[in-house]
Amino acid sequence: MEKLSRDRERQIIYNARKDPKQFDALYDTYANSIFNFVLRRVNDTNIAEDITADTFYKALKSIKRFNFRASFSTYLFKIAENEIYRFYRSKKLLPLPINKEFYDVEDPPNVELEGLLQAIEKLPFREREIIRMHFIERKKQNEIAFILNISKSTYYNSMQRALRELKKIVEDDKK
Amino acid sequence: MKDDELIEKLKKIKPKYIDTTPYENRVRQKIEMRFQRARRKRVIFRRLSFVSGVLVVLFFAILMPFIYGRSGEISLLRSGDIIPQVITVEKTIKIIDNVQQPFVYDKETQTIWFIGEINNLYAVFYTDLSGGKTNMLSPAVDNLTGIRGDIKILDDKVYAGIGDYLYVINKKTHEVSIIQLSKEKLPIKNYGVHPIKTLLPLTGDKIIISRDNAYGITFYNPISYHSNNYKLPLDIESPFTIVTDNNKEACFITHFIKTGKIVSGMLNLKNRSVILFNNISATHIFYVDGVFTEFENALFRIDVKNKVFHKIDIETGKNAHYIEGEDGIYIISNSEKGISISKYIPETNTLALFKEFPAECKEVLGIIEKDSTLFLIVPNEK
Repeated sequence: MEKLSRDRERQIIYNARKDPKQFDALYDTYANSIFNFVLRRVNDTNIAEDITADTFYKALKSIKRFNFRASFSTYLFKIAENEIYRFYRSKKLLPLPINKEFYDVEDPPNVELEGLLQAIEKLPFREREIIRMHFIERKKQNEIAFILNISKSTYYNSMQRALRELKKIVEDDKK
Repeated sequence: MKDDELIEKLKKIKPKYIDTTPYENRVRQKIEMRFQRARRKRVIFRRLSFVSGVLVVLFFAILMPFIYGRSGEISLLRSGDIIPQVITVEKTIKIIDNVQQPFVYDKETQTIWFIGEINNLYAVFYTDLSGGKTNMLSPAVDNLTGIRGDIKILDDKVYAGIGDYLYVINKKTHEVSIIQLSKEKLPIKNYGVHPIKTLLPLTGDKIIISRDNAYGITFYNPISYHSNNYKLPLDIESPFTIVTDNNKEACFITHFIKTGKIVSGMLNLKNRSVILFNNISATHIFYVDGVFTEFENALFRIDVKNKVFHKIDIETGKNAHYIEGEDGIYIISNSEKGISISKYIPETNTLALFKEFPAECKEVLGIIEKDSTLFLIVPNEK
């Protein structure tokens, strides 16, 4: 599905507030990215379906409260992130191992994909999400701060800490 | 490893996007299911709210009257007369003329407490049975209207109400505390003064206070100063006489607001429901081993439980009047010869006829009995 222009997206949101059927256009645009975002974190298509459904259900339910402070896609990622966190907490599960099937490497000879993913996996939840969203999913700083509900300074500190810890883990693994 | 090197390596990892087409419809169905589930929950919630609303209404409509009682009017049926056994008793008569009404006698300390007038103001006085000196105890206050107030004894305390002041007196130490009653939240008839008409101390530091120019009564706690005003149902004014011998119910006399007709009734102190005896327009009401009223110039015993009343078959003159005593009701009859006094004792169903009445005594306000002496409280004609 094509990416919507900002004005078009805004118009659809206004229309969806009056007629929920208009929400279909938003679903068609973002379902793929949200599903993949969730799947990379839960490693199970059934659970990913449920969490994606919950994400869109909650977004539609609260669409009247959406205040355009962030883009709608960022808003959806924030709901999805919360739903993933809620899923782990309700099932009392530790985050599942990162599945390398959902990742690829641009230049294979220079990167040990599996080792690096295992090192990311060892980071605490927030740091892991920051590294993943920033370097792999290429999200902007503002978006990540909004999704994780943290300030920019917290984001900056967490990023520094994450890189420091990741470097240490990689070096320890090499030894 | 340098930071830049690590970042470069990280940047080379990119996410794979799997084709979501097979899942998209299922996700769409799941969203629809979530809406249906929410709709069902809303319907159930709405139905539950409706049912609970109905239950609350039913609770108030059906159960509350059982909890808080039903107020209403009843007509008591006249049942057989009570014929007392007549005995003759000899008593020495003594006259006390330094006591004013209302008064109360404390048997334990042999003291008469009364509300007396001094320079157009009113105060609590006390004296003994010798008829000697009277002592003014409390500061004198304006009683606001012609209503003199009321005085009662319960346990160690004497409670007096003059104007809108309540006096709580320790009968042994004569320690007085004076409380000015507020008229805030009192269901009043119209703006003005609301002096105490009558009061009734109950066990458990509670006093029922009835104030003039009001529709209700006040349950007052003189220890915590907490008052609870209660508007009486059935369009009646605050009572001008209220009596009890227990903490369950109190009998009273009052009148209807609209018609002004005098009516007697019973107030359940627990659920505060009121039952009016609409065919008993009493002038006096007594609580001596049961409820007694005076109306149509005769004495009647009211049996509330069985909704009947009995006339006490006593021969009295036309102008007889009745005074409540400790264990009986005194009947004062006027005849050409003078005054004759008798006492009806409910416990034994006996009528005691007293001999030797002073011919000069024209009016008796109250009677105190001690051993073989009858102390007649008469107005001071000086």
